[in-house]
Amino acid sequence: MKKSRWADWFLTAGFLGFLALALAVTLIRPKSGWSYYENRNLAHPAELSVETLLDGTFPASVEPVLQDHAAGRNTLMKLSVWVDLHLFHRPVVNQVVPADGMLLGWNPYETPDPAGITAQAEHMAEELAHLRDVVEEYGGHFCYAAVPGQYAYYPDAYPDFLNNREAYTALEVPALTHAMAERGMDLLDMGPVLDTAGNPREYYSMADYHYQFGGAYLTYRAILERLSAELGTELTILDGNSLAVETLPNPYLGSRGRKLFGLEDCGEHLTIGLPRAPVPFTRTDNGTETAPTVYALPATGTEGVLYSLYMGGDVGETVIETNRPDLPSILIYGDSFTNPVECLAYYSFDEMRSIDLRHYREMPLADYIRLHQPDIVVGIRDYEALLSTDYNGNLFQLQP
Amino acid sequence: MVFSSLVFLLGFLPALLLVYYLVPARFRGLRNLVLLGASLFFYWWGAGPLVLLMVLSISVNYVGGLLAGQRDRPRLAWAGLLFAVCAGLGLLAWFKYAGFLARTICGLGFAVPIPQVTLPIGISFFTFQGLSYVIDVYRGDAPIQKNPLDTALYVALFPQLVAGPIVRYTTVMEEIAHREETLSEFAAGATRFCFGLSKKMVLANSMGQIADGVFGQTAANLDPGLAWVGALAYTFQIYFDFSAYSDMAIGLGHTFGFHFLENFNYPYISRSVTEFWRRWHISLSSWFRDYVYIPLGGNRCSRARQIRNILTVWLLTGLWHGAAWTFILWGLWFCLLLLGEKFLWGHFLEQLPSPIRWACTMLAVILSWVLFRAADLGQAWAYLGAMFGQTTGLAQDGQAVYYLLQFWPEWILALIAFLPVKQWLQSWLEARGAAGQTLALWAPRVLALGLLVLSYGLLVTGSFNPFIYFQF
Repeated sequence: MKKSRWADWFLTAGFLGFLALALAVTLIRPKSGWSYYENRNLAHPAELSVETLLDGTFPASVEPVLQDHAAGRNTLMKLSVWVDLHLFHRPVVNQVVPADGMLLGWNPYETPDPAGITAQAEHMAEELAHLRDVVEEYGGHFCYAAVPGQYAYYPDAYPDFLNNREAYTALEVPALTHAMAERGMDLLDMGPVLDTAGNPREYYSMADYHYQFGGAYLTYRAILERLSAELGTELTILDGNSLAVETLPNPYLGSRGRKLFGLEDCGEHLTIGLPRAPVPFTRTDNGTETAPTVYALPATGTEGVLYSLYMGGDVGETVIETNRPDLPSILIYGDSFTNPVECLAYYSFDEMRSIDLRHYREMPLADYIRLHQPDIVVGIRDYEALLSTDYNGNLFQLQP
Repeated sequence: MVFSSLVFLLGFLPALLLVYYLVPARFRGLRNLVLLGASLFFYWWGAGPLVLLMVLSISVNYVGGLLAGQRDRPRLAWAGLLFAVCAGLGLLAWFKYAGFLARTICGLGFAVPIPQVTLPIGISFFTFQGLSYVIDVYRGDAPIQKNPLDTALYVALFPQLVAGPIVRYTTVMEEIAHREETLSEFAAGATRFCFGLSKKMVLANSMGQIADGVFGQTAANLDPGLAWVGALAYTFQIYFDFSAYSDMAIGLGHTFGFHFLENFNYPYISRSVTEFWRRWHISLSSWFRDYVYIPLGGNRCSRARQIRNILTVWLLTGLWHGAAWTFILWGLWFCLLLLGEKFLWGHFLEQLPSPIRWACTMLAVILSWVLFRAADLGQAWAYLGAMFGQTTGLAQDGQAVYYLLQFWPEWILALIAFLPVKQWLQSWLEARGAAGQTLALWAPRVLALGLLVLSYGLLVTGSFNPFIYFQF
């Protein structure tokens, strides 16, 4: 009887003590508005008022806030990832597929619809043709490049039972190539270019959706060679002689590794390329003059680096002026795949503008082009976003 | 508000326990008032202004009970019963079935407006609970509750308010007025709550992710393996989800001195459908037995009337679960199986070895859950077809393997947890002398606290947390 009472006290004290402790720590722990590993803002409660109480807004907002600010959250999330990775060996952890020494992205299962993909490709090609017309109206030149994302570069690294989107890619890229060709445009597909180069592992990141410097350099080179050929002028292309390539010693935390709280390390490092004969330039981000650099270099050799090393990350509008009016001007638009390309491309132009429509809200891209009339307009999109009309696929409307 | 939320665990529950136990036990009325206020707040937090509907339902049952208990004035008593039944079922019919009825009439070619009605959480539960009170009073099985706050507390008591078990008034009427909250009751209740919470967080939610993933696809494209994985996952999900809620409700009841009856008794070990329904959602099946089946004549009548009675009960059971043809068909499916066992193949079934009887029962149950889970009859038919090979096979892409490998720890746990392992272990330990008994005493408590921490961790790190039975 006595033993039973001890056991009951133990349970009761443990139960109430845990709830009280969790509540107290949740209330008193310092609040942060940002979750680094999740790369998102943490929830905050709705304003407390009679109205928000009656319409249910306030009650509904409390649970996400408690979840985001609960005692021990980061530790528990790390522990959860560790258990899933190392104890349960789940094939997918936080939407990351740890396979073949890499951290790949998990793709939802899909049944590709050829007719739907063709229709999307036709629509996108039509939009691009209109944009080409806008550029050519004032005598400019338009070039559009498609680059594989990580899943398309390493399709064989996925286990057989997971979706590597090969079936989708096999429909999507030819559909857009064909639809653009019908409109007199030549899609620069980096897939075959990378195939020709032998798809070296160091060209694409093992822990991030993007390419590594090697893949970015090849893309930069392919674009400039294409432009030189189409324009009939010799654009300066940085090569082994004119470019000093340096791999940073800093640990690289790719987006996949970040989702896994840095618990899986692929041993990757980022590489930068600096012209041996630098040209002075000025840089303006969203209308504000900033430091004249294209790499956000860490202060020390041990500090971790992210993909935002290139161009300092995604910026709505960047303008780099090299003040060489004899050279043409260029506008590059697209998602984050443009960033490492831009780190090299500015070198060949008088002015380089960069627009990322995920962040730029001032005017539609077509209007921006009409306003600034760059000699060359280059769009770069990855296979996943290739047919999407969102953001950098929304060329004629103001971004929502 | 749901039990498996941080708002409940870190806010509502500690605050209520603190205020409730600060009130001395001798002030029973005040403790009841605290519990009632908390229960109404609990409901309001999730349902908003619809809490007024529950208050209306409570008022109807209170007045109905006062009238139904006038035993010396039978007509008034009858009027009271009729009033409560018509008003209670009328509210239920409007909020739950008006849209379905209108859509059905439209489907027949008649143009009628389709009312846009928000389904109040748990309306089926609190309506049936209120009705049982009035009917018991009318029958003389329970005394009139003259204190409206006590009637309100019976209907609105938060542990069982939104997802059962359906508590009979006779079960708790004594405890509303005179109950004793003790340390051992509290500890037992908290232990049960922790086990229920972890069952929900670990098993039900994982199985729910699989079921949602599979049932969310075009059923005709599923390969048979994937269709079976989805059906099995839902079979586990609905059991662990609903029985977890009952565990938590019963456990919370204990912490406040109430004793609710069991709602589940390892239904998936049943060796016949009849046995399954003695073990599954016991509070609902016994409600229909006592308030519909027996008043209709039960089985003490001709075979034709027995069949009519069973059919009525199962049509109503199907409809109680949801306003859709899939639920009606689900009820009829069990009606057919029960009639078959009663009149046709029951004797033959009893001759078969237990594993075969179990397998046949589980097959019938799994197929029934496909009907239950499907969005409509078309999906149900296509899904059942896919399970038996009638499929385009477009989705033969390794998903079944993925769902098995991704959730392998949960599959293994689920396969263990549907068996009465806890009872087996308890008996085994208790037969092992003093050491075994000590272990049997301490192990569940230590495990319960571990599971509480685990559940907290899953609540903090996960976001997939819907409760199935709230829609009923």
